[in-house]
Amino acid sequence: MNMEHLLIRKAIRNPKPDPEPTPSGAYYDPAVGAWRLNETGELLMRTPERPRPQTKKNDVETGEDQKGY
Amino acid sequence: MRSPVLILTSKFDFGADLLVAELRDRATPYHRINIEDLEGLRVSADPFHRRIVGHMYDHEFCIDGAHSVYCKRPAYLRNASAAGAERLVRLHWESLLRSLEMAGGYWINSPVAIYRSEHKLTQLAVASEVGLSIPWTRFGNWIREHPPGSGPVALKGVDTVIWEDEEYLHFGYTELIDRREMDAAAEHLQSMPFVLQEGLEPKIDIRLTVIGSRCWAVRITHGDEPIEGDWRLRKEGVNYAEVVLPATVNQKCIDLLTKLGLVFGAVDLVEAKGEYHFLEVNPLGEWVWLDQELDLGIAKALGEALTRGNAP
Repeated sequence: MNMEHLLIRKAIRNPKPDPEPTPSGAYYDPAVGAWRLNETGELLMRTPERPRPQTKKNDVETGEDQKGY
Repeated sequence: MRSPVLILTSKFDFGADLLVAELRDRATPYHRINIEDLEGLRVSADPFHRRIVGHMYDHEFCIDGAHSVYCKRPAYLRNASAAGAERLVRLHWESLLRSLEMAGGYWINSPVAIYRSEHKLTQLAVASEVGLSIPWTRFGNWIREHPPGSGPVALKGVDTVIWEDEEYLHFGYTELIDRREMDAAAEHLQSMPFVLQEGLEPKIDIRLTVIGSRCWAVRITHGDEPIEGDWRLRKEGVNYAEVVLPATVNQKCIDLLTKLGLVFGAVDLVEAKGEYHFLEVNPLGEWVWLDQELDLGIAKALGEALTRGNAP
């Protein structure tokens, strides 16, 4: 790989993201197809404990969901 | 009984969780298939009858054309961290999931359309065709001419600039570079094609989310100020505000998606020099963070569209 190519040289590096970013305090319910809060069983994404909204996966930009993974 | 909605995604696609909630609100049957959980899935697809029978988590389902699919799988794997046989297995599963389109149905989005739409050159050509303003652009590995003007130019990848080594994930953003730096690097730039564009600065970034004939526009700034370069580089202090774009701009973006065969698209526009310019559309673009930040109703619209089986 030509490391002097401007796009390669200027790329930003980050530690590799966690491949399984499990939200804390929650479990995945396969029967429902969604994450639930451990404590109450509520659907995580409809509670204040939901993961912080972000454009990035694990705060590491991968050019939006599913671009690389 | 209604055919179920299929959700093809990842367990960590939290937007899909919101969609699940919307479908449950509507008592719409659904099955979520995550790429991480395929060991629990049994599927058999019949190309003669265009029918798919599946079994997952004690539920059996059959889809045969009268169904909807929310597809958040990539058109191809750019940088799957799996290797060897594990990668082979994943590639084959991804291929099967894309092939389910043979059973017909209503897809948000069609895998074939996703693949075609992810080519930036195609996007820009179609955008120009429908009347959207696009920046001066050249694709290739040859700096044969400069964009008009004398300011910095925008340098981007033809495709996503992403790769891994043992320790790190590397990601390339849109670079605003000085023309002299670009010329000095011309020989190295030949080794990999790139996109060279007119640098539209100062500019205001706009994210326009389109589903069918509905649009939600969000202005992205730092405080109230424009963000120079790639706004995704900013980790703090980014402000989002819902705005209303001219109807003509919305309609051209709707027309763009129609021509690309897409129902959903995350369109990146910039407002610069007194007009709106198209940069790109992402058929798999993220929407959850804006929907939750501004309560836009995107999850609701997706739930409605998939329940009805046609675009809003």
